[in-house]
This record gives sequence, C-alpha cells and structure tokens, in this order.
Amino acid sequence: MTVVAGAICPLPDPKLVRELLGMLFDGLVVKTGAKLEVSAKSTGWAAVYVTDDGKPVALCACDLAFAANSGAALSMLPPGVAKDSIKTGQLTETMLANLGEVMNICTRLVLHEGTPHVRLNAVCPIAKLPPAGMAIATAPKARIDFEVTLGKYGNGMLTALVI
Amino acid sequence: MKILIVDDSTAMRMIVRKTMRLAGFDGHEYSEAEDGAKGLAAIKAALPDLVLSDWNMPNMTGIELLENLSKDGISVNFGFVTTEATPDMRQRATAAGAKFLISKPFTPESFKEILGSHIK
Repeated sequence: MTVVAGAICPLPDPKLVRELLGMLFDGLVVKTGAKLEVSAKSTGWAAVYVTDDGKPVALCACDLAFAANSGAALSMLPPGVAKDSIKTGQLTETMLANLGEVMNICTRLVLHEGTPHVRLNAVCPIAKLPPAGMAIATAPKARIDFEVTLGKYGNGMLTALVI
Repeated sequence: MKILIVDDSTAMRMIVRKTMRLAGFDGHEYSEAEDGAKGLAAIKAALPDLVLSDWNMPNMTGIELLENLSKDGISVNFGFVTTEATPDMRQRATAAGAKFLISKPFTPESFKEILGSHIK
C-alpha cells in the first residue's frame, strides 16, 4: 500500500492485490504491468469509488480480458466462454454481475487505515464513465497498473487510479 | 454448529464459506443473509451459534445489526468480517459486544487463529 501525497486514497501494491484477489481466484499471479489505456477509446471496464459525501475519488479499471476472465472464473464458467466474450467484446450478464462483485471487493485496494471511507458507486464501461470519473481516468494524481493471471483463464490488466 | 454469514456480496459470502472450509471448519450448518435487516430476521427466527457479519451493508449495517440484537436482549456469538478495520470501528465493535473483527484480505490461517476458540 502506497500513500500518495495530496491524494485522498492510497494505491495498492502487488502484494495487496494478490492477497485480496487470492481470496477469490485460484492460480493467481499478480505483477506490475504495462499502462492500461483508460480513456474514451478504451474497451475495458471501470469501477468508481466515492467518499461518503458522494465525491468520486478513485477508479479501478480493467481491460476486457480481466473483466471477462474474472467474471467467468468467479462462477467457474468454462474459460472458452470468457474467450468468446473477449472476441465479441460482449460480457454475459453473469460476467457483469461477477465483475461488480470483484470491483466491490477491490474497494479495499483504495482504502487504508486513516484514509477516508470510500465505497463502490458504479461499474461501467470506461468509455461511458461519467465526467467526474473520466476526470480521474484522464488526470489521476497517481496510478498503478497490474498484470493479473487468473489461472487457466489467462491474463488481464487491472489498474488503480486516485486523485 | 449453526453459522450465519451476513454480507450483501454474494461473492463474499461464497468466499467466507470457502475460507471456513479451508480453515477446517466444515461439517457445520451454514446459512446466509443479504443484509443486516435480513440477518436480524434470520437470527430471530433461528438463533445461530455464530454470526459472521460484514460491516457496510444496505438497509441495516453490521454494527446496527449487533446493536439491535443487544437492544432486543438477544445474545449470540457475533463477529465482523470487514473491508475496513479502523481503531474506531474496533472500539465500537467491542463496545457493542463483538467477539472479533477480521479484516480483508483474510486467509484460512487467520480464520483458524481467530475463530478457533469460537467454533466447537
């Protein structure tokens, strides 16, 4: 966990991501990764975290592969179903519901003792982030990008961004 | 033992059950509730031996659930499994009668260590 000067939320390190997602998934490998594109052109998904007064202060964004793979793995759907979703760009209802669960648990990634309480507000395609969310995406105070391997489901990218 | 898991996240309830099993606490009768209000109703309907509750939930939070149980004179072995665990929360939980507070991320080992004395 890294405290970011001037930011409301901290940033997670690979160890925390591994411990947190390790509760959910078998065969998990987490390492810092390449920069995920988080813009109106992105095909990935994002979770918006807000403070108790409703102000968006952090995002967890992921690429389509992480969204499909984690969404499939949580319900133990066959990996082929996730691969089909990655190909078509369409997540099934189950995957979307599961991605919401994953992102809800990921709240812990932008929380630390002594930092303000934040909660998950919404999960949506990155390209459809509301303006306050897109502002975090395009001009974060800090970010960290991870490459996440979900066992037999394969790799995906997960990024935390804070202001 | 009858063990009630109260959490608004389906995935989290599943993870808690899985972690209980990996910690060696299988062979118990598990049930689930989706928020504090449903947890309160479930506890009143059939008193469990142990309650593992999330803190932040819609309708009724975990701490409100515990405080309501106390107000209604219902005594049950109750602990939290939460995302946050600030000193204030720990203090409030203890004051309300919680036996433990486990913060996420947790492991089967931490479950074993913390819950061992509460599970027969």
